[in-house]
Amino acid sequence: MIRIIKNSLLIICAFTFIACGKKINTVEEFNTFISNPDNGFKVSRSVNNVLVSVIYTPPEYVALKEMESNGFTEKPKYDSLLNLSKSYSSFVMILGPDESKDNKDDIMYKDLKNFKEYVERALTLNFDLESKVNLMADKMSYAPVLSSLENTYGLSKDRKVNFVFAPINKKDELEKVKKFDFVYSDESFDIGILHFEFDKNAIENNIPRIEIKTK
Amino acid sequence: MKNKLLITYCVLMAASMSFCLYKVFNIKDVKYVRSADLIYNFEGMKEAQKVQEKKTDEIKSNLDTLQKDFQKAVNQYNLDFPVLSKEERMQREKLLSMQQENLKQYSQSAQQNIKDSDDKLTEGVLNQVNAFVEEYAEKEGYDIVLGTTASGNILYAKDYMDITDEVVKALNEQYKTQPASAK
Repeated sequence: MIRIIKNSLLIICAFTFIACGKKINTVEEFNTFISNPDNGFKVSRSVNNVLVSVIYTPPEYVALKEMESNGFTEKPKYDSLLNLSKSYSSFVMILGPDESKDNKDDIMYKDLKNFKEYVERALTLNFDLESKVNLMADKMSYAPVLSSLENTYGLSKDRKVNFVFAPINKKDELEKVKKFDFVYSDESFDIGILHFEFDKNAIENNIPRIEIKTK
Repeated sequence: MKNKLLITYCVLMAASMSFCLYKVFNIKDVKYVRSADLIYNFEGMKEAQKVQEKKTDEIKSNLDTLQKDFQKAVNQYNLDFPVLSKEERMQREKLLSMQQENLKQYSQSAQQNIKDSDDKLTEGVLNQVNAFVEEYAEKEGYDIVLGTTASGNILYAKDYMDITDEVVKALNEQYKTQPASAK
């Protein structure tokens, strides 16, 4: 009898825990969640009135984004995408003016003296950031296999750059990593070398549940 | 009339004295840091120096290769000299002269590159330190943080005002930022 009560209580507790846990249905909701620094996915640094933020985008986010952009709704497709994304590590770096320091100018024009410098900056941000960024994990250094600057068409004062890192030796080596150190060696804004450290273990325990709405 | 003037004078004096005293005592805390120690003990500076050394070594290695190639070409020319015709000698000397000129230009541009890159890295490190000291002073409630330099803008200050060690420690701790919730 006592065992039945005990088990029932455990089941109730488990249900309560699951029901109260954070649920995510859309990329937009996930975006809001990972953009909140308190959740551990976003680390920011402000130097020389430039705010640099790095967001770790977990495989769950990448898979959900792929689902939405391709119009998929089936759970097996999500699982397959998730499985594929797990081998890679993705980050978004946001370079913007630090508005708390009264800097409200578009980051592309910060401290530029002439058009030549603007061209250099545009070229660096578009094509050369891969050589300025690396990911340190388990004493290994990974260079990004992909980087892309999002075009904002002048609608935003900051610029987002997506980075993807791939395993070098074993398929699951990035999956097993406990800590990430995202290093950005800046040569465009006089902000030096910046480290953004992520405790992957702690972050993984914080990933919300994804609910795929099947049609 | 004289009394009125005297009273006005006294009131004005008292007001200005009060204002001065208010200003002096309103500066809550003045501290200083040894600028050179702060910069050179900062992990960011050490890392920047390593990056710079690596870049300099790469450039020097390229320069060495070019210099060796040039020396090899000169030696070959000296060996071939007795069997070369006048025209061939002139042609080879012209080539050697061009090679030497290219080497000189590369060396100059490499030196400029090293200097520019060093300036950029140092500027970045200084901006990081400045941003941190500003943040730190605000957090600790310091009104002024002065920096001692070799040119001696602070000639004397009590030891308790020196916060270099604590700033270096805090600066190095935050160099590798980790989100609070993930700790």
